[in-house]
Amino acid sequence: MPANEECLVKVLETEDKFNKKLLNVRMAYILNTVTADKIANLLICLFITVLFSKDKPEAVIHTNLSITLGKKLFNIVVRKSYIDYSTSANAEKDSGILGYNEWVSNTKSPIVKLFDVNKTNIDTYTSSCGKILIEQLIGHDMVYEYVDKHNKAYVLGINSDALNIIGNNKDNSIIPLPLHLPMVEEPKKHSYKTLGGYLLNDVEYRESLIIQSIWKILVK
Amino acid sequence: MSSMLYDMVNGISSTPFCINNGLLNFIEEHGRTYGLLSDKPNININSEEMKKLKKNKAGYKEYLSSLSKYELEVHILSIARVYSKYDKIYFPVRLDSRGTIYCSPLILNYQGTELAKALLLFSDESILYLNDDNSLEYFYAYGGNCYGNGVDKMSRVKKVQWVRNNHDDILNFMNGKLLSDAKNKYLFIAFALEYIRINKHINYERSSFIKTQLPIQLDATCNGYQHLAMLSRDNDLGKNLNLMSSKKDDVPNDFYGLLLNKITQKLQESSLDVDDNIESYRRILDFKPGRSLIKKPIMIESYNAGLVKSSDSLKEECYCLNEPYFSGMEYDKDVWASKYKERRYVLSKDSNPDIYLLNDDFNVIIKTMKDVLKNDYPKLTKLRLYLNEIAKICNKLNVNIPWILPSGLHIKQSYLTDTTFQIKPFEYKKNSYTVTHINKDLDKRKQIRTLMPNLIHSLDAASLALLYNKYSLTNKCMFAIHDCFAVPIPNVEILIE
Repeated sequence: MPANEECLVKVLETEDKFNKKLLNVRMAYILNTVTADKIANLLICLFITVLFSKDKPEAVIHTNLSITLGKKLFNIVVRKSYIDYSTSANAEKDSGILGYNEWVSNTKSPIVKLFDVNKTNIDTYTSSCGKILIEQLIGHDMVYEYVDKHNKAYVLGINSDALNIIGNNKDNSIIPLPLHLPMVEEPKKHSYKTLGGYLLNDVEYRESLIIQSIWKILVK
Repeated sequence: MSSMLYDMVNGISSTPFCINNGLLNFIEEHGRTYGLLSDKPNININSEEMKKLKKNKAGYKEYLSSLSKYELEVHILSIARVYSKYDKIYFPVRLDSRGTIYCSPLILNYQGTELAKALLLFSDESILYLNDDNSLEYFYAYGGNCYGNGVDKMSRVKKVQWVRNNHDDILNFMNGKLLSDAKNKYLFIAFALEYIRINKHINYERSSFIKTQLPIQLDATCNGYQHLAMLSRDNDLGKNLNLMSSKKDDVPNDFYGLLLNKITQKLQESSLDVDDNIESYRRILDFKPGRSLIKKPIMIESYNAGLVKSSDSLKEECYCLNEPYFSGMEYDKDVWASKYKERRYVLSKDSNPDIYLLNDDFNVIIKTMKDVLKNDYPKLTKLRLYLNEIAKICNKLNVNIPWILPSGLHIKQSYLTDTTFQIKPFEYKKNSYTVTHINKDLDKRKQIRTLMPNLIHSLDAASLALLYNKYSLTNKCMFAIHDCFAVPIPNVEILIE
């Protein structure tokens, strides 16, 4: 891990933004650190932001978005470093586990030092990192960038192909989809002891067989 | 809760379905051509037109309703498209306190709109032998039911005859002759697609059987009254509700139509008497309320609906002249208010504005309906009084109302009173919130009013549990929408038996 971190720092500090090879290297390091579902979440979040800002170009200025995304990505990386620290044997042996803020201010981890918010050029790093995510969406024809004359900046728009997939209408986006969808696996069986239905029921959450009672229990 | 209920929930939840891809493709390709899909109301949310529309209460309500209908259709089709590649999809179900089954997945499920229902097929194939005339007759009769327009009220023999007479137009349903008039368009297309497939097997492939997945839906007649008729042992009412055994050439009784005739007759008699409401009777008789108008108030009467609620349900079916719809009509409140001093209701936008009903006329219709039911079916009134008395006794004892269903579910009805109050927690914000506090005493009025509808719903649920318990011994493919049951074509006879 520390070796990876050092490499990532070096890569991020490199000024050559247009080198495609370098972008791939950056992406590889980030993917090594951040799990795929977290990356997917950020990409979906970015896509929805662009989708719902159709008439508000000021909300989807490329640079601003890449800084925000980069910060989110860095937070994930730093949080992961903290979790690694807190679960490591050394932390337990030493003077107990430090709180998150305390650890951030005391750690010698180069990746955390790189993302020190007090640094003047922090936005350069975060923007550079967030840009990788935006380029993923651009590369897959989900969004495109154009110059907005009013804001005098590059802004993002939803690609027409992507719009066709979701129904070419922002009202039909994935947001109003119901929480409960049909299952593609056979549901779990309900019994006296266990809750059935969706596979994660009784594992990650509890949804009883009886829908919340329409009658309140009479307390005597 | 009994094991019978667990078995039913697990059995129905694990029934696999799949998307009717033929129908889905047809709707996506030709939906607009045949007027199957709604158009999106084309009003910009920030426009002046929208500001004007918001002032017109009825117009804005219709706008929201059409927008909601449009969005629902789009979502049903989108979800169906996503699931179209799966051979088996499942709809886990849950129960409410009365044992009634509800699908957990929303929007696309067999308890949803007609479009959602029509898009679902049983995933497991059932064998339909092509010499099984009885099953084929049920299938043809189902086609007549989907078409509606009076065919659904015919005897089974006549429904089959109607399908045979319209053989060519069903095979070539895309000519739009039948489709344009069909009452349930999506279900009718699903029927026609299956009809074409079966016909092809009979005539060209010469096979002795066909594998079918189409669900055939069987509806109960006025289900609430059926339970009341059985509870009160009212044979006459039971006969009118098709509870007695019948032959396939018997025309099923139409309870709503029968009551409508009785109500009209009573109104005619009353209009001859010297009465304060004489003008009202005349207006109603000129208006000629139809079966579709009177259906809902009759239905909710079995659920103890009061005068106001029943009147409102009638008004919902009418068009108020004082609040014109937004489409193509300039709305000026003062102009309309001076034109019609009292609220006037007509049957539809295109109806003659001189044939109308006033607010009080709806109350007259409902009172007449209640009188007819009271005089012609006295056992119903007795049963209602009996249930009310039970609720009153429980209220006096300050206990909840318990009953046990044949399915083994123990029910305890206990509505408690609540107190609501507003709080404004933030100094810097105008927002206020309503907090509800549940008290510990029974809501006695509600306990009395809701006993009958809750009892009927619970009996409905128990009937399904008992039915599924027997049916599932031989077959698993079945779904239920409260009082409507659907099974594959070869299993209709088994279900009826």
